[in-house]
Amino acid sequence: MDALLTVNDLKTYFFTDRGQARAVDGVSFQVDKGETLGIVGESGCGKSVTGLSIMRLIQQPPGRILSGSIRFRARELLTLPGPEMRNIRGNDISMIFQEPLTSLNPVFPCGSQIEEAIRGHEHVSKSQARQRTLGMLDMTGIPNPEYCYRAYPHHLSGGMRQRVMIAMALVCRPELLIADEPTTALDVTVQAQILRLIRNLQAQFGMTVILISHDLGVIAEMADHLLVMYAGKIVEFGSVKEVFANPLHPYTQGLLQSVPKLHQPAEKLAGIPGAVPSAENFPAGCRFHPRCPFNDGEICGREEPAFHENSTWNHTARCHYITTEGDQLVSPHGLEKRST
Amino acid sequence: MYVIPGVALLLRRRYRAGLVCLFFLTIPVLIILFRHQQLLAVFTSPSLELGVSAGYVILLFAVAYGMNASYLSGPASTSDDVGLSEWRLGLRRVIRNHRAKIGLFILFALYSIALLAPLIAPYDPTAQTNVLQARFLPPSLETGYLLGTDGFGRDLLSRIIYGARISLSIGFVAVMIAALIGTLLGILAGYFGGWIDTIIMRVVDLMLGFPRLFLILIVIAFVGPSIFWVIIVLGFTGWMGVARLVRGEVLSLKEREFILAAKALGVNTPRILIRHLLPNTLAPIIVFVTLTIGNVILIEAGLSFLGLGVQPPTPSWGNIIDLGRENLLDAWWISTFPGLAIVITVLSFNVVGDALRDAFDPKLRED
Repeated sequence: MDALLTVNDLKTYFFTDRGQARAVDGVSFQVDKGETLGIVGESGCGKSVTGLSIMRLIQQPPGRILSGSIRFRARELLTLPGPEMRNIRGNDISMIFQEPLTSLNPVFPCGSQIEEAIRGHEHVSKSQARQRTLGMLDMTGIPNPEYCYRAYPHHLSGGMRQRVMIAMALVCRPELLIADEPTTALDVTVQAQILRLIRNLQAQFGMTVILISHDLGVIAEMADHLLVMYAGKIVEFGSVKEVFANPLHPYTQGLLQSVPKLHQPAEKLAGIPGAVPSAENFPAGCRFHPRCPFNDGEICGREEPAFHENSTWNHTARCHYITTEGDQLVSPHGLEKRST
Repeated sequence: MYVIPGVALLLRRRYRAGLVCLFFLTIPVLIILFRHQQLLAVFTSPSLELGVSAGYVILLFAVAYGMNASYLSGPASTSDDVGLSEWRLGLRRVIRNHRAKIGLFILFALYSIALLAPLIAPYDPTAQTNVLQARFLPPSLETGYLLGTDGFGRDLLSRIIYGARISLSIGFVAVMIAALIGTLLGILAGYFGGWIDTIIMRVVDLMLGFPRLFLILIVIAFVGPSIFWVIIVLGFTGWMGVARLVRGEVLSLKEREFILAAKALGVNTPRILIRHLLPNTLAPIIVFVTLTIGNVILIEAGLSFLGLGVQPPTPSWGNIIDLGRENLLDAWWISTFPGLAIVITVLSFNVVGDALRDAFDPKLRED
């Protein structure tokens, strides 16, 4: 499979009064054409900043992309001149955001905002743009596209507005959609509808999706591959199946344990003690070590773990205590189990 | 019958819409009935002011017929909110406010009087006919001078009508200039931030540090008093409030996600400023403008009163009051009536401004 998007050693820092915030600190990954990549992590771990960096929409100042490369279809996005980057946005790469309630301009009808997206990238007549807008609204499963076309955002519910946002993002048939927590602000039934919609449109358009979420359930349902981010770094990477079956990094294990399960008795839900360190002063060594149950107080706080790499593995993590057993990686959690 | 706008609406029992159309029709019809000679002078001796008046008469006809047509084609009930922008909803809230309705009516009447001045003024405002006998005539119906005459035997009513033209248009144009400058600088400062913001906002602070009247006096002292310079000076010393207001709005708006979403769709910066930011700041700007026009009319009256604004014999409410000042005790009417005109105008602007604020900017509501 050929990679549609390759991110290499991306560093996006924010320079604030309190110091240098390393929001994204050396992130590398690639997304193949047609697949769905999930990015998970707690709030403040750099998921959204990664998405915005790909779009080059980091507020500058205080933010700045320091180094790295983002290659999209063999084009380097980070050095692209402004107008060309603008033409990629919305046309080749689109993004939808968390808050459908505030993502639409309140003073214009929804239809004209979708038309703006078309007319910004293609030379089409007003009536053609209208036709395509109505068609796109119809594809997003909005029951009455004509009504929605002339309705103002405040007339629509959250789910409807998110559908309008999706229509806006996809009307130019982008190859890559970055969905930044698209369902977080919606209630669960609507959430399922929106996710199904994204998946259907993805299949229809042959689109690649980067799905940013803190909801492991959403990721499990939607994604092919999964990145787990913690404190600006990727701590685990693999196919969804493998990561869920055999989580390697203690952080991933913690995340999975903190999901309530229906078929198990209601015990006290396991959480990860502590909070994500602030991006201005990440701990030395492994960034997770102050919260890690396997912290040995030595190498963990001293040396930053590297990925265990091998071309045959498509599942790997950053932890000192991961060992190889046969051709499999074994997590420290697994070790502990075996010893008891 | 159906040719007359509003009649069809009345026959369909939509009385309010019908009466509004008829109301807009009344003024041009009355003008044509009673003042057709003056109106026809447009063709024989064309002048700018007559042209403006004639244009306004035609505009009123157009408004009456246009409203008639749109009411007839529109839906009978207005309970359907769909397709109504927040603008229309806000305007509806203004119209439902009774004080605002009265204020709007008075403002409409005042601006109509100002625009139609050459057609409705009974006398020439500068003509000094029969100075010796017509001096200081008190208001009366018998002499034909409804509001009396001044020391030069000029009809006070005509002077106030012509003065309305000067005072109202100075207020309007000056505030428009101020709003334009303020909006432009405010949006730039708020959106781009950084050194642009610093420079613009320090200039604002500097300008606000000077007493406004002092600034105005300095400029007028240099260039000499004239209507043009009064407008320019009032405009260029009034933009700071708008700039601060707009900057604040933009600062909060640009963090809203729809701006980010617009950028993510590849919308370019000028378009984001004009199409996405500007319309969202318009409501507070309009409120501010309405509340400021009254204030600027007061300042203009003050300048003219001091002899630094509009120069006699051109009438403005301020210099009419000034002229009556010496004879305040024996000819009270000269200063009183233009003073009343100012009070009514400023009051109406404030009432309408308050209603607009309540409708569009609930955060600022006082009660």
